[in-house]
Amino acid sequence: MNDETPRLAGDFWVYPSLHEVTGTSVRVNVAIAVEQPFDLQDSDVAVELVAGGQSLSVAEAPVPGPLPAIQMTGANAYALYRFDNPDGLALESVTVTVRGGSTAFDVSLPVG
Amino acid sequence: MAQVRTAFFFRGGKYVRYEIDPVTGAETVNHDFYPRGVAEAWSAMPASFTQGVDAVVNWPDGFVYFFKGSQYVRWDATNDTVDASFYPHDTASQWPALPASFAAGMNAAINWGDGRVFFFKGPKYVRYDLQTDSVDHTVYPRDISEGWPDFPAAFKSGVDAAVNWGNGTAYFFKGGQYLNYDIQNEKVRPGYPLPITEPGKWPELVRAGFTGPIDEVIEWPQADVASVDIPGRLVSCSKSTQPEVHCGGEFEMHAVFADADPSIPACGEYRQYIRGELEVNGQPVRFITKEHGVPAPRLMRSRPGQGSADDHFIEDGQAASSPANHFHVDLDYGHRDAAVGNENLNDVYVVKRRSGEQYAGRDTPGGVGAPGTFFKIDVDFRGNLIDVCNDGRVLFTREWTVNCQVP
Repeated sequence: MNDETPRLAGDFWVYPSLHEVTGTSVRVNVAIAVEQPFDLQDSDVAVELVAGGQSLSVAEAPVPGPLPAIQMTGANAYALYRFDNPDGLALESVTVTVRGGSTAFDVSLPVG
Repeated sequence: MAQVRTAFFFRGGKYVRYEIDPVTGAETVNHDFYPRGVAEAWSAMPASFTQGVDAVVNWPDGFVYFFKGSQYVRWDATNDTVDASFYPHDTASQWPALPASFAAGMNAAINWGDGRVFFFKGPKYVRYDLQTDSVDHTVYPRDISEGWPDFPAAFKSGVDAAVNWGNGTAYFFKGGQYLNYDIQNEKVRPGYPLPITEPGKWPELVRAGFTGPIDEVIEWPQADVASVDIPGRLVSCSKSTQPEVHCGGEFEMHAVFADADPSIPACGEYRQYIRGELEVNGQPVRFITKEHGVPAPRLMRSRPGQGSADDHFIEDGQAASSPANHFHVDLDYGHRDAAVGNENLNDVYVVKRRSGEQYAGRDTPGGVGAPGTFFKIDVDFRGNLIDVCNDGRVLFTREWTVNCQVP
């Protein structure tokens, strides 16, 4: 990631953290600021990971139902994804969509 | 623990910052900086008040009132601001309890620390009741010679400045002389008046050239902690797996700020900070938080490596822009100016948010998920009590950890 700044996807502050699992897949763990746990369902969120000019296919996505959440003063819901990247294409961007609002993050720097 | 107290002496367009160590009694002035121009340092002060003030007095809600001629300025000591759209303003229109002759101009004012404020003008004075915002007009204005019979003649004709020193003593200044007044016994201590230049009495003022006449003196409001229980009822790990997975801790925050002028509860506030590590279903995840007054949310940071100068704590808060935040304002712990006021029952000052002496908060950090969700919560908390009237001076700090894992 180029920076560690959450961004607004529509009305929601979001931040995706990337972790390379192996040379052939990438995890994208998305934090979404909400007020209460269970504010969001899996179907409220979509994530697209682009590498080498193409969208990578989703290997794992949140199970159907409410997203797990962690609460401090506010709360964050978590949507956890794994994408296949069998050719080890260079990562370019992650687009997070929450209830129709989207924002893109430049992930061209090394993951971690 | 008692904090260093600060008093400001004003004369013309200059002032001196005077510091009093409550333990040793040592009184000091940094002569490298003072006397200093009011216009130079009190940047929020309207220009017409920077060349001299007549009377200054602190109020229990954290405001300090400056009077000059027929006008006054309300200085918010909790954030060093003045509402420039309203001040300076005519005293008569906003202080209906003051007699017209006093609203037209005063010489001195003093908060007596027991719910009463005294205003002085020429040979007269007025007693102002803070609880009722009233003056008994059947008695006041009254001659100083009647209400303060043991004042020397020169002081019965008027005083230039008065200050409650916060230790049972009030000082009254007139020309180059001053009185030491015993508040509890309501009398001038023997041997007074004395000249300000009397050896051993005000050496720091003498060195600063403030030997009289002095326009006014104010002991600046400050916060002091009367009692504290932070974290209270700490449970660092509590978990369940049915009907939902819960994994986290809970604690309460209780503090009482002293209410004995110049210790003013409005100056005391709580702050909460976080750092640490989180996992959901075995995956490391970040946490979006919102620090008070910072435009955009930030991410909670991991613990720093050994020897790091940065402790990685950032404020624990929530952004207003989350549509699920039904208050529609930023939420953080302890900020008295929170737009939500006392509506957030996990973050309350009793009785009034701006001036209440008791703070009560509650936090239940942790994870919630459908059955089968894994969580690992390992978060450090720091709770601070600070004095917002004195540059955020930290009065109390404590750190604790919520560490919980399921399964």
